[in-house]
Amino acid sequence: MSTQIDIVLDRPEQPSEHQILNMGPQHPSTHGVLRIVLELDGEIIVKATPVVGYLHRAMEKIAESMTFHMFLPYTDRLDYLAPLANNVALSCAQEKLLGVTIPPRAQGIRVLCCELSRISAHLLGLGAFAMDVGAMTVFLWCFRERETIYDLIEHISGARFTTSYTRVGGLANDLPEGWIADLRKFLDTFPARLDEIEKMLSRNRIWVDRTKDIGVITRDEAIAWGLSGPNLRASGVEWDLRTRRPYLGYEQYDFDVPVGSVGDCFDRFLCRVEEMRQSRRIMLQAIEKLPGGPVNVQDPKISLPPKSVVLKGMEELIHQFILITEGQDAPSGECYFAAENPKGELGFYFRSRGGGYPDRMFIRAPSFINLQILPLILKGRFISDVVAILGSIDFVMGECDR
Amino acid sequence: MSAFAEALDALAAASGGAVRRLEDLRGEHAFSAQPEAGRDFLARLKDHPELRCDFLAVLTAVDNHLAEPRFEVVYIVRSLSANVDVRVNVPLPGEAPELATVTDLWPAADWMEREVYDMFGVRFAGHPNLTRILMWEGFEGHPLRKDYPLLGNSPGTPGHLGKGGKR
Repeated sequence: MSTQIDIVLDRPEQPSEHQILNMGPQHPSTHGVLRIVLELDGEIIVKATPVVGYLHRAMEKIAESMTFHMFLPYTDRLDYLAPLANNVALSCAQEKLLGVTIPPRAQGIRVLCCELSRISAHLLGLGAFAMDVGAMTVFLWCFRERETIYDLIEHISGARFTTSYTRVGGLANDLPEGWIADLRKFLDTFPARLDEIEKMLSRNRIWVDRTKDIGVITRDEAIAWGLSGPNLRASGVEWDLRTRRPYLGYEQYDFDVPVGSVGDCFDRFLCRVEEMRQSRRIMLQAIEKLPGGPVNVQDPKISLPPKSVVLKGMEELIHQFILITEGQDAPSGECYFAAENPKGELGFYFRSRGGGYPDRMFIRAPSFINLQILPLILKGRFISDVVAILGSIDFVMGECDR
Repeated sequence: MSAFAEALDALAAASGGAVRRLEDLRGEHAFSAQPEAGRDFLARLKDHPELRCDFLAVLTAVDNHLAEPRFEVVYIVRSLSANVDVRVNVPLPGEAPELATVTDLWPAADWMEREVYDMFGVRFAGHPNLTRILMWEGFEGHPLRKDYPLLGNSPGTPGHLGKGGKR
């Protein structure tokens, strides 16, 4: 290799009292492979430099040589704490490019998927955040709830993590029998459990000391640095794509968008807890309103025909063959679609020249953009605040590095 | 036509032909701006009292390999108050593509510009720290360019098999 990888970035020219501390990429509180180079004056951080890219898998390059369906499993590995929500976001973006509107039942089920993932992702974010600042019990309680969610997810998609449940123009399959009843059972028990978790933290002296007025992001900073999701809302910006630009029929559900006032770690924690309650509200309404009917667009140029028919009918066989080998024929042009994912705005920008392969696909990964603000909010804080701030930003490196 | 669209068109018309509206597939606001005028147009979008595009949602690039201008840098800026996105495409030549940075307008552009530099080799003049971000320093080439090979590992890749390795 021509250039050695620098162990330490920006080594000061003049020897100084400052010490360099390398945190990560294997540090447990960095939630994956984030590395932060800290320049310290005693316990105080003078400068923090995040280093990303350790999990880069060239997803955008891979997408250029794949049909729309083929890329779907890769989205499971973006934000791997909310794979269903990523599947939905990608499929919605592809449908926008193709100009497809999916049937109401598929929309309803996708909303259930998104909100279920939101609860699961926020629970993990909260559990890991709490564990990093020393509250081990919360982590275990959160994981107990997540197990139930994983059972539900496994039931609909066949996998706990790598779901790949959506398809262009709909879903891989309808809900299995009895699933709604199971989901209802979870939604009935969940609020009490969540209250328990919240009570454990929000009045806890240690927790409050570790999070209140730590890592404050002002409203203007949050907007300028492109934050999205709960991080943006905790800073007092009422911006939620589900209400501002409703997709999947979010406009028919009645729910609140929690907004913080200070923008510190504590506000971000409160926002996430409240979002889980709102997600439950949305799911209860979505179950009530869930219409019948097909879960796929009845267009042979978009949706795969059922396998049972493919083996008997000539026409369906041809459609299946064309869809698998060439993919859906997209019009030439550009489009951008963004969905409100647990971590923030997950957007897909497509540039198509026609045909089944995108010429370029850009993933707007919320974790990547949210992490940029770290040097600003870490400056002047203690080392022990780093873990609290990282936990409250709630990022996933799979998504950040793509 | 909405007041927002009118203000946008007035702003584009004031550029003296360097910025023009594009036909968009899904009817969104899209403009093409010449490289010299791009930054100025974006700054006006941000500071305009009615538009106030204060949120940078996307900054990326596209490689139109074998065509000229080869690269296009794509910005999507958003007005949170009006809830509208505006896309601005800036075409760049294949030879030494360079553009003025927008990090002073939106700090969020910092890592996104580094990523475009890393993946496409487009340089941003005035960027405070234009280094690679997803690949490591010392890596050769720009992987998202269309002429970057899809198979084989380049020397210097961790796990490179050396001579006679899989190509």
